[in-house]
Amino acid sequence: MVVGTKESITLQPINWFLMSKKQNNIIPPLSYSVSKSYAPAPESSAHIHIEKEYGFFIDGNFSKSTSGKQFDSINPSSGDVIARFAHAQKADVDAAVSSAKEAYQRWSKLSGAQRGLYLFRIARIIQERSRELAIVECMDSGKTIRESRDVDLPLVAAHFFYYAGWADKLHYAFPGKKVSSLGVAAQIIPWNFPLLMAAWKIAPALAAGNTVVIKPAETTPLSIMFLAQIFQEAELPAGVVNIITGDGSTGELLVSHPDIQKLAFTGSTEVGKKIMRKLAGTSIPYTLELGGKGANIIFDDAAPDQAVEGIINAIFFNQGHVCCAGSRLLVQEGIAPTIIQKLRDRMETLIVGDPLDKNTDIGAINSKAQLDKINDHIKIGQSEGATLYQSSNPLPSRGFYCRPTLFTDVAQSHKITQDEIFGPVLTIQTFRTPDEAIEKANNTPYGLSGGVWTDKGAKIFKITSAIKAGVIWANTFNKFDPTSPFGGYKESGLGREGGVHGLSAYVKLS
Amino acid sequence: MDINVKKTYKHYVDGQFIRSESGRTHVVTDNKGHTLAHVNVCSRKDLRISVQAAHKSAQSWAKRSAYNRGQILYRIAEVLTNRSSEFIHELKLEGFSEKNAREQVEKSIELWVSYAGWCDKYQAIFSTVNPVASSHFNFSNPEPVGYVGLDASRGTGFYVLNAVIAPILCGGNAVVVFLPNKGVLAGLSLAEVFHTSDVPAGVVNLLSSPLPDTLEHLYAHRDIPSVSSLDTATDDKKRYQEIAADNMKRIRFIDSDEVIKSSSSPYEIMAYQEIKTTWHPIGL
Amino acid sequence: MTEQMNFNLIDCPPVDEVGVQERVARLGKRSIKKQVKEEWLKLAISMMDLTTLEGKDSEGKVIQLCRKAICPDPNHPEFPSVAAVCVYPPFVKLAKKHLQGSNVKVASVATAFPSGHAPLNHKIDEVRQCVDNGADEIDMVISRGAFLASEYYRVFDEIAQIKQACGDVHLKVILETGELGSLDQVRIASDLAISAGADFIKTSTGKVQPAATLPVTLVMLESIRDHYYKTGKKIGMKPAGGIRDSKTALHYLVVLAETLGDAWMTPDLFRFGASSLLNDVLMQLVKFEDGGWYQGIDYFTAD
Repeated sequence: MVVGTKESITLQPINWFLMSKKQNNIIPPLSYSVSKSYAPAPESSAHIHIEKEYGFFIDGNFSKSTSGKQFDSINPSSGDVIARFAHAQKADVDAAVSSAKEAYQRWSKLSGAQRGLYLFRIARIIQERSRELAIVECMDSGKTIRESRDVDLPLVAAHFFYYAGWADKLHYAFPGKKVSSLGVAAQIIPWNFPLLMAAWKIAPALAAGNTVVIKPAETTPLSIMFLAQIFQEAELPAGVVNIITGDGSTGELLVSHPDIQKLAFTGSTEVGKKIMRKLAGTSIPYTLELGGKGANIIFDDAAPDQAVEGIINAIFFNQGHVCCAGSRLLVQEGIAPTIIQKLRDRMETLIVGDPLDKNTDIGAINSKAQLDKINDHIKIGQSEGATLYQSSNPLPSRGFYCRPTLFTDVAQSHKITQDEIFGPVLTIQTFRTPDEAIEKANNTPYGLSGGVWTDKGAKIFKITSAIKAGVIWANTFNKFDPTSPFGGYKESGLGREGGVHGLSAYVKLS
Repeated sequence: MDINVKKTYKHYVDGQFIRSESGRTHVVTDNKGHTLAHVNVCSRKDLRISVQAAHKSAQSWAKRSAYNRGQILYRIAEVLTNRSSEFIHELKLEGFSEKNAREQVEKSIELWVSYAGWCDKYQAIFSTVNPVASSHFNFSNPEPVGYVGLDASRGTGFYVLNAVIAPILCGGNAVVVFLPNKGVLAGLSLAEVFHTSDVPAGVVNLLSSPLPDTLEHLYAHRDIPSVSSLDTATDDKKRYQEIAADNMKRIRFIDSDEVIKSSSSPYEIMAYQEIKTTWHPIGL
Repeated sequence: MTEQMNFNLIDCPPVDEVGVQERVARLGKRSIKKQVKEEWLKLAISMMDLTTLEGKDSEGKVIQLCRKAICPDPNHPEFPSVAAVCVYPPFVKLAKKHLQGSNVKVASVATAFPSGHAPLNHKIDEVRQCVDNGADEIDMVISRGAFLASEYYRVFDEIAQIKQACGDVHLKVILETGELGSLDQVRIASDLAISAGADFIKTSTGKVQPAATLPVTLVMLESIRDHYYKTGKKIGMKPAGGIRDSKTALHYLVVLAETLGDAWMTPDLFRFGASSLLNDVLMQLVKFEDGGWYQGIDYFTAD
């Protein structure tokens, strides 16, 4: 402690964190009523035109289903039906693949520069219609307008721009190899980032000269229909991208189709394994981007307030519906009480509400089924003996919502630490040494992401090289960029999307 | 209306259209000797203020994200596309055939699109993480030299001009250009394309008709790190290299014919990059 | 020795600049409308330290400023007065006289404002004179040269002695964040000033660019928060300089409300050091009453 004047300097180390630990229980926590009192600030959606029904997008046109089978897509903020969609049966899947196969003959023979020009056009139109797309995305998926407007849509446009630029440059990406396309790429995408996942799949496939049959998730089939309109506006040749809607059964039909030359899937590890089994014995290359249970490691020499913000972003971004979420917090034991107290304060200012309200931080859970799964896990956590904490934010009366949730007193041997919950639920464990943190971080069949928070450079590189995951964030989290390869180790999948590495999935090298 | 408003051509420096401080002009004529326009000559002082402008703009231009630069280059392609007929007309005035003029403009557009796509990709190809033997994280990545002096005065036409400027911009550098004497009108109008495409002031500076002593000053200027020279006479090459040695300029001699035959290349971008290697320990 | 008087450099946590900027940007996306906006605009007026700190200040200038401070808009006498008037030491007595009967306080800069370069005893004398002349608040500057040369004990000592000279008068310590070089240094300066006795920590003199910014404000508020949880004591914060419009002021209030919460939403713990901000806030407020139409500057008094 440095006291007063030059003469009386005495040095007595006082651990700042220890002091807070001691003082914590006699000082009343700060109160943040502001999150309950902002006036509604709704993004206006009245001008958006949504059809009552949508068919498939095959051969450049919107078409009805052959069987007449349909299903509803629900707006999770209210539980109301947003539109009806066709349920693809075998004949529909066949038509889509056949259209892609036909279009491939011409598309693959265009020069890279020509393909690039189409992709650049698409990127530009996406930018122009960004706000409209963001609103539609919110309404169908439950994510907040602030995130869809500021994160999802800019990335969607950026992915198309990025891969548009590769189309005429493929030979530079693979030195010493002759590059050619594969053929028809079958793609199945999830409900957590509908448009972004569509961009991640379609852009590189097209840039490399392939054609596409893509199936969006059954709870979020709407925004890709708007993307289809954009393909028409950009005069993308018919059949280059075909969209079929449906559930797992449609997906299965697509995966088993004899005329596909590539499969790309993003979704759960469970379904990923099914696909691997289905494709066993065929020569169809596949890339899988699956689940995760990312560890977020906070050392005592981290910048504490920024680390807390990083933890919040890691688990509550997109309502926790993120495969690479930092859903396991590993905090160095000495600072755990301080970090947890800061987390609690921060959670009080998180606004859970209408996704279309510009102030909402945590939107609606994507579906009733997912909300049930999350709530089941919360009950499991409690019954396992972990300590539950939820913020006091009010929830809307209609729709599917979940409060941001923490579990403390958690061990690796809790089910909530092993399972991917895919919701705004964070488990908190402590560790003492870097080795212990690394061991716990790697102690999972998953390997998608990890986070490290420390102010010390050497430590960053030591820890990041030890974590067995495909994406590691140091002093940040949930950052995405089309130039940055993304994908998992172990049961989080195989293959990478984004960057020059992301091209490999869609080319044949000889 | 029969009486056209004739265009006045000016230098483009630091985001502004200005006349030469010398007050002198050069007459541009067509094949038959008729006067097309008076363009400004470029004096030493004009060169000096252009270099200052490039220097000032270089740091913030280099700091822009690669994505942002790509957007700007794509916008250049958009604006050029929209105004193609204007450029074709100006080239024809100076004696290029309709076919050739059209080809040059179309090829230029394709080239800008291609370089727009390179802005965020050349780094992935030419950066490395180096597996050094000690416990260090070691990486090398390209950094723009800053700003480039480009003597294109002996070059001919429009495509060549675009083809040498694009990789400089793509790599995050600013540039000071002596425009090709033949095709100077289209070159000066190109300034308007840069100006309306969100290219920041000072990043591109276009100067017409350099006086002989101004040329020497380009090669001797101590505040220019890199100079590229189009179609330099063999006798001059040695002299320029000797002068440039004074501040160790990176000097390149470029052949227009080679440029016309080739298309976009990341090696052209890398010609205006330095490589920085950084070390950091890996440990606790 | 009170709890507050402990300062140890190793206790200052590191600050991540990119993280701070991201947090500030996210807070800037809050949409403040309707009732909350109206309340906060009025709150902003009541939080203002209406400032004149120019070489050309004269008695006439100060008298007119005092009138504006008490009654910002004569067409709307129901709008609150500002918190304080901030002037150079020679004008303290005059300001005190012309603010009599109102709730507006007199804040005086002191300690060789803005540079801080003067012998310590001169600075202490200056403060004592201001206090004797009736100043309610003293805004002092830290010695930045000493701080940047890591002479923390000296900076601490100066603040402690100035605080002593203030007596009961409320002390604001200006860190001059625009000169400190990094957010880590802003955090150290904040912790140091609070430990040495500051009642308020203030960003800037307004004479150096950049003056107040949202990132330094966030860092200072975080220092205040940590201090609260360590000692239970609430320290105030004042961003000064460069806050010219309502939109910016509201952004600052969002940062305050979501970092320190309800207890700090009061002029006792938060001030804006501003001059041209006042009319912009008035225009926004009157817009509310006037059917939402945009206002013109001619309808607001220039004092």
